[in-house]
Amino acid sequence: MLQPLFDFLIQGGVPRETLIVLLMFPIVASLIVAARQIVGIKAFGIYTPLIITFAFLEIDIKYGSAIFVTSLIVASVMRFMFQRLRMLYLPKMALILSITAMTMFLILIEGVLQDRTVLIDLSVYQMLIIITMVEKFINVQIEKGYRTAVILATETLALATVGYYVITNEWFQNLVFQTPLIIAVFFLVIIFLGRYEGLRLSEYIRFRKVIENR
Amino acid sequence: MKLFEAFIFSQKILGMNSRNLSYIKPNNKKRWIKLVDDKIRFKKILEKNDIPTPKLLGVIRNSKELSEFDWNDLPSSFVLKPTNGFGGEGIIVIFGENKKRTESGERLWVKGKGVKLDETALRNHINNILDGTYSRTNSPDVAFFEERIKLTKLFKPFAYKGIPDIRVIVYNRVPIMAMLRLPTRESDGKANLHQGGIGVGIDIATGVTTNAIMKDQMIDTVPGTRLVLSGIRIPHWDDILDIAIRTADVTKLGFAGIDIVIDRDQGPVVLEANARPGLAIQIANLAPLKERLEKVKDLKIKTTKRAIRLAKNLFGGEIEEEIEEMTGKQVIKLHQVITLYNQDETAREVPAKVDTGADSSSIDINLLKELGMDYVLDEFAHIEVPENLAEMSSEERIALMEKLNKKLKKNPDRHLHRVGVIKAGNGIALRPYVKLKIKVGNKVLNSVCSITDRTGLKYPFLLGKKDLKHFLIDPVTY
Repeated sequence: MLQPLFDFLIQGGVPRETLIVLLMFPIVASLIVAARQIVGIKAFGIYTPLIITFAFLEIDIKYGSAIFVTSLIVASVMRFMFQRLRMLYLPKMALILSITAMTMFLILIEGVLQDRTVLIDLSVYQMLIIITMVEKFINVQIEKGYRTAVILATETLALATVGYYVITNEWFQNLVFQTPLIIAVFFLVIIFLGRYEGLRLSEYIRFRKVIENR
Repeated sequence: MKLFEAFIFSQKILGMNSRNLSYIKPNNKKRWIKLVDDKIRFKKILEKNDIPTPKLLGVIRNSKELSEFDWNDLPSSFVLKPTNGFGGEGIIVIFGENKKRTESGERLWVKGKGVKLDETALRNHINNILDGTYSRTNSPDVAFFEERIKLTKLFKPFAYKGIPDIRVIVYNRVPIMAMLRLPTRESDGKANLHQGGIGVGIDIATGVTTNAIMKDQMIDTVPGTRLVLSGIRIPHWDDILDIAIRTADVTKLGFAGIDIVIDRDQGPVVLEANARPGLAIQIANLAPLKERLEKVKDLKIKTTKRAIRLAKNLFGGEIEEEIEEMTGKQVIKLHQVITLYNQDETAREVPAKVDTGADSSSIDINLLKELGMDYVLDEFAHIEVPENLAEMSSEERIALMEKLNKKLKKNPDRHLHRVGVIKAGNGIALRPYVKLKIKVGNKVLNSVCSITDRTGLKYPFLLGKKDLKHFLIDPVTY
């Protein structure tokens, strides 16, 4: 049913990747929702894992996760160093983010030295998207402590990784592209999860003492 | 099969999904959530409704108000807080004031650890608050001064630095579950559970603590000490439940966690109301919430008294209380401490043993002397005992006893209540009885006890059948 529309767009010059990304969006979104409501994986909300999944799609999971981890480490060190500095929130965050962005030069230098073309050709916008996640990370660190921030960052990385493998799966891509109506199922999943009242898997563990004591 | 049962049971637990969807959303309207999140407006509405809360001593909304603020209005002890603070950031507790002012004539306050702060230091801190340094969104904030809560003696050994608070979950006007939160070294004096505070479950019926958790793990004592966390009786329990219900009422929250602290002088005061109460309270109480919430869901409860009674009946764990309610009799243990009163009404606590085989109670002769009641024994010594006592038949013995007691009764001022003729191990003897005021559990009785020599026995007092009329005995608990 949607095939004529796709043909029309592709003939008009819209890249196939664009269509795939749009079609995959509700799928990744429902994956993140299921992780939260059924498993209990919180990550940094919905936006961050979603956008990082698609950033990984552009720059490959290997380099994507490397940038992810690097920027977190740099940001943590910066925050620790600037903790005693009397500075307003926004300028301080701008400073930390900018310094984190500058460290990307190191990754580029490494790419040139090792002559890794993939690294040199990295899409700079995807890099910056990953870096902006640092703001979330630091906010959580301020409000809920370092431990929680690291846990949530790890969860975000894990979710983005799973999301990455789902949307790069060729069989799955073909399935979605050929029968696009399948995404209706994922819309239903999201709506169902929006009304789901059951315990999350993590809560069975959290409340195990209560269950044992019945 | 066991796994299946565990699964069925686990459906009684309240999880995040269900809490958000079925309890917070339908019961807590946005504008009322906003009200309780605004600490100053919240305080004002409590004060208007005569619900005790730490008094508001001053509000500073902007730098103009700060420059116009009269520092002489402040008492020598107070707390300075940001309105939108979180996790206790930006709070300064002032414990006292130096008698001497600074050279420039400013007041000099003292915070924890004897650190001194002058007005300039406080003004700087307030400027930081106004800038939003401590606010959740880092947007401009409001600073306020409030009365400092003084720690009650009872909690002193249990609390590290901060003040313990009591969280009561109120749903549909009924107090559903409660816990005591203790600040610890790990939580740096904060009572929040996810910051490492201790959560102690409380029996709704009695206000006595049950189990304790720290970081979702069960513990018996305060870490690093021998202080047992169970069995603490929270003072003013009914008042606590009452103000929790009233706070939920005036803030129009159908599902709320009310935080109450006990002030040394004022008793229970409300600190905060939370429209999104956490779920760890279920672990502290080892009891699921959802089951309780469903029980009171559709009830229409008019008075707070009725709500408290209902909560106690429905959720109180102590079986004793239920039995007491049904039979009107109090449950006591086989061994327990009772109170004796001598003629001057001086109270003395002694360990007693319940003996359902004995008709009347008996008291050790030495204990009687310690109570200063030797005169009973003097009177007894004056009684003439027939020499042929040992050879008497049982009829003659009863006759003798009646005769002696008739004689005693003639004197209303006597201390020796009566005598008994009993078969002792080596023959027949006279035994003195004394009337004593005693208190068992919460009942005061006039007991007629025999005086015996219980030297070397563990319990100087034996509770006999005649004094046990109002009690049921639980032989299991010690």
